Amino acid sequence: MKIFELIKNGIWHRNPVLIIGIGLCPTLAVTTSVSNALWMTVAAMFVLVGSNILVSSIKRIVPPHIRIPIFITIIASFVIIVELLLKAYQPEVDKALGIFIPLIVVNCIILGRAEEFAYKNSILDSLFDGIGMGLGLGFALTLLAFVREILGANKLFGYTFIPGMEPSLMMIMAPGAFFTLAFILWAMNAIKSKQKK
Amino acid sequence: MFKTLIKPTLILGTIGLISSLTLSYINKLTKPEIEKRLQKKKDEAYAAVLPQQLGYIIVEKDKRVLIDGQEFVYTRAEKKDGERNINAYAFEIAKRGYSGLIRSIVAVDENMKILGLSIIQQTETPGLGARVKEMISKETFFSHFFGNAAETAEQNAQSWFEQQFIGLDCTKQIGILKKGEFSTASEEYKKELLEKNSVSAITGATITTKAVIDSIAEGIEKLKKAIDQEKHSQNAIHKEGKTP
Amino acid sequence: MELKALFTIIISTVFINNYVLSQLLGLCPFCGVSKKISSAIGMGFAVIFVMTMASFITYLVYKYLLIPYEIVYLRTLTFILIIASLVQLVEMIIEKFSPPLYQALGIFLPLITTNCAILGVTVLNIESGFVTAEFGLVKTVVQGLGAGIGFLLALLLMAGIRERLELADVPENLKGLPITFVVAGLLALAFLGFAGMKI
Repeated sequence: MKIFELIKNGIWHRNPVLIIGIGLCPTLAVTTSVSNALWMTVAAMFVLVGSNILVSSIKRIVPPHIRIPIFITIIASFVIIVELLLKAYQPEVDKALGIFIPLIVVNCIILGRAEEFAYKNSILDSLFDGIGMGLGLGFALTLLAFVREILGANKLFGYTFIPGMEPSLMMIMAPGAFFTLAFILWAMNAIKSKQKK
Repeated sequence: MFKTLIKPTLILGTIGLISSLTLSYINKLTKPEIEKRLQKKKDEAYAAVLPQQLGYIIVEKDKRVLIDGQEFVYTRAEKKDGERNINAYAFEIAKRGYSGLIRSIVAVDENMKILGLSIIQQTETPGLGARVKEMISKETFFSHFFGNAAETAEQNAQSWFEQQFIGLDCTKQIGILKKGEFSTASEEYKKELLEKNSVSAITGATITTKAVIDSIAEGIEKLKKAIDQEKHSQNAIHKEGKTP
Repeated sequence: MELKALFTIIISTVFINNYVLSQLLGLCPFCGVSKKISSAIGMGFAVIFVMTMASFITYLVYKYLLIPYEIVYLRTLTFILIIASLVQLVEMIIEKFSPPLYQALGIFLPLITTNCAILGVTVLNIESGFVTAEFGLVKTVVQGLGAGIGFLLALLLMAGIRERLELADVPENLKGLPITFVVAGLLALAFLGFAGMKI
């Protein structure tokens, strides 16, 4: 039961991007296409789950005052593993995501979950917390990418969406990212305030 | 002393050691794969810029020379035309575009006319500069996933942006025309582009277009020097052979 | 080396390729610390300082340690550890020698480690090919400085607008993050005007 709760928390009630508002850089920068968003989710989730499990399994031997450097080392190692695997087996994805793969290291979600959850909870709970938070990030990324790819490039998964429609370039560039996220957050707030009533 | 200094250092050191050992193992596993892919990509790019139907055969691959203190790598190919050998050269060029390096491989014939161009690395903005790799395709999202297979058109190996460089003369400045893109150009416009030794810019990404053109010009300068050097060294060998 | 090249790097990192508003890096502090102008200034200068220093050190480490020993794949790990220890070091030095400065910058320093603009600029320095370029070290440091100035500029603009926004009548559901992103979007739109500018 708790597993289900953890995953639901990650996707909705404590969604890292849409509710807490962290991990914004990759959210805005790589959501120019749905496939980029999905690959980013896979990469970030791998690091998130891996670091959560490792941190929670060594939590007893980590002295509190040097825990942050240790977390960073663990996270960075997982990120390098992702980097190398993508370079070897999915070079196109590695090229499309570019510097946002190494930047997973400084994604606040991952360090935040290590510190806030994995350092205090059991291995199994940390595993599902990682999955939940990863899915939450994926949900936000896909939602944004879906809107931006259709409006900004008139494409979906790289194929023309409506032949002949002129896309709005702004949506694929930085301003479009901000506006789309603002709109989604506004909609979330509206839904929440309605539920309260 | 032990608790505050040595123990944390030991733990941190151990974790660092374990992680670097793991990483070096994974690096060892993936390294051949990464290199294989890079080489394959390069070979494919060479094949794209020197297509088989032109009849050129690569004779000297990845020749390294020093031009103005910097290394320049080029590949020489030739084909037989009666008595004479016609040379063609392919080389890698790079220049900073809008948001990062744009690397391409370009092939020219003896008269510095472009035989082919292939962009092998770019990180330009999707929807703008990244369209240098856009294929001409009528396929849509719906036809791909819901249509029948016959509708899905076959794809050319090169993007329209790369194709329009073929036949341009590198001894002259390559220009940019902004009357629409090559992908939707009429036959007349294509003719005009070729006459004016120009390419059509990608809408909203002139910087990207310009970077590719500039990198070609830089590469051609280096190639000319490299050819000169080669001739000189060959002449020197000839002279030495003649005068005892 | 011409001075023009350095000028071009500064202008393009501050305006054309502004790290926050057009490359979308460093957004967490951009949203978190932009409520008041005074804290925006403190954060901005701390970032400029760390970015310039980090660019300098990572360049040397990459060129003279990682490349010769063929451990380039450890780049991400090395850089983030350098940044983290640099931040710690800067914090200790400032605390010791200039307590007033520490009071002004101190609280922002720990936040800087997870500012992705800093790791971003060090990685981009390497990827823009400065390692093999002539005067690469100078260019790297200038790019780090420019990126920091661009960050400060974006943060200041945002803080200025948000201070005014306090007095405005914002619809209930737009309050907080949504309106911040609308403002950021408008700023980014304005910065889009620099795109394609040729120097």
